[in-house]
Amino acid sequence: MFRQSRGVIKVSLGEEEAELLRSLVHQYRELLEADHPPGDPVMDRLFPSASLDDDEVDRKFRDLSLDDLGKHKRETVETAIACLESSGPWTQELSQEESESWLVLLTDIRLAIGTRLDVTEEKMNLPVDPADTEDWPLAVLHYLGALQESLISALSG
Amino acid sequence: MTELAPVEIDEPGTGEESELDVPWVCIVHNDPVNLMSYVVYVLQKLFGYTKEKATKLMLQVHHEGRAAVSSGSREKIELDVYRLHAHGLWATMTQDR
Repeated sequence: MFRQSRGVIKVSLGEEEAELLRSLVHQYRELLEADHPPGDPVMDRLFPSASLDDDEVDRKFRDLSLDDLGKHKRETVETAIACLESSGPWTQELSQEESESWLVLLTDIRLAIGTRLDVTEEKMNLPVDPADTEDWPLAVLHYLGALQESLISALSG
Repeated sequence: MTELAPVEIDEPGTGEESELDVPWVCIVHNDPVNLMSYVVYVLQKLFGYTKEKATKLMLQVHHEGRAAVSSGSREKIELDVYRLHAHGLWATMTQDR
């Protein structure tokens, strides 16, 4: 989990958790670099529309910002990967910038998983059995939520 | 023969002046994935709102499906929408008519 001590953000994850995070971060980076057919729900959620009903407003917004948003997301992944140890448990002090990058990265990974699972609020409130392989992605989603919650507490404290 | 000076009629959606004057609004939409605490954090970070105001807006998003979080010129609102997207929140912009 993440925590804050005397103004410094620290992360401490055991080997299994750290490996899971490494895997997810690399999968997310591949997702950003891959080509996607138009209308892919995960990409539509990571790069959402800017208008509910005005295509012109949305088009103008995307013309201005789509490249920047893609670049921002790729930079966020690189910042996060740079501070994640390559193997073993992960124990580190993080700068404000690294912490904020991790916050955004955890959000995006959760959005990708949640969108792929097509979760609803009801589904998010159901109990999950991590031993059930079918439930595993949802269990990961909840785990990342707890991890993110600890980071938000650490950043807000 | 009398010359009539042109009369400016202030109808919405016509003269350029009234288009520029109508403020734009940035709306945040509910989604089933993002944490409530995260939405509060982002609203405080991006708009400098107090925790109370950010929480109130988050609860509105949560219960009503959406909330207007800022208003202003088109350029300002486009930037607000972008910054929210960059933090994983779904925001749209609309003109406040």
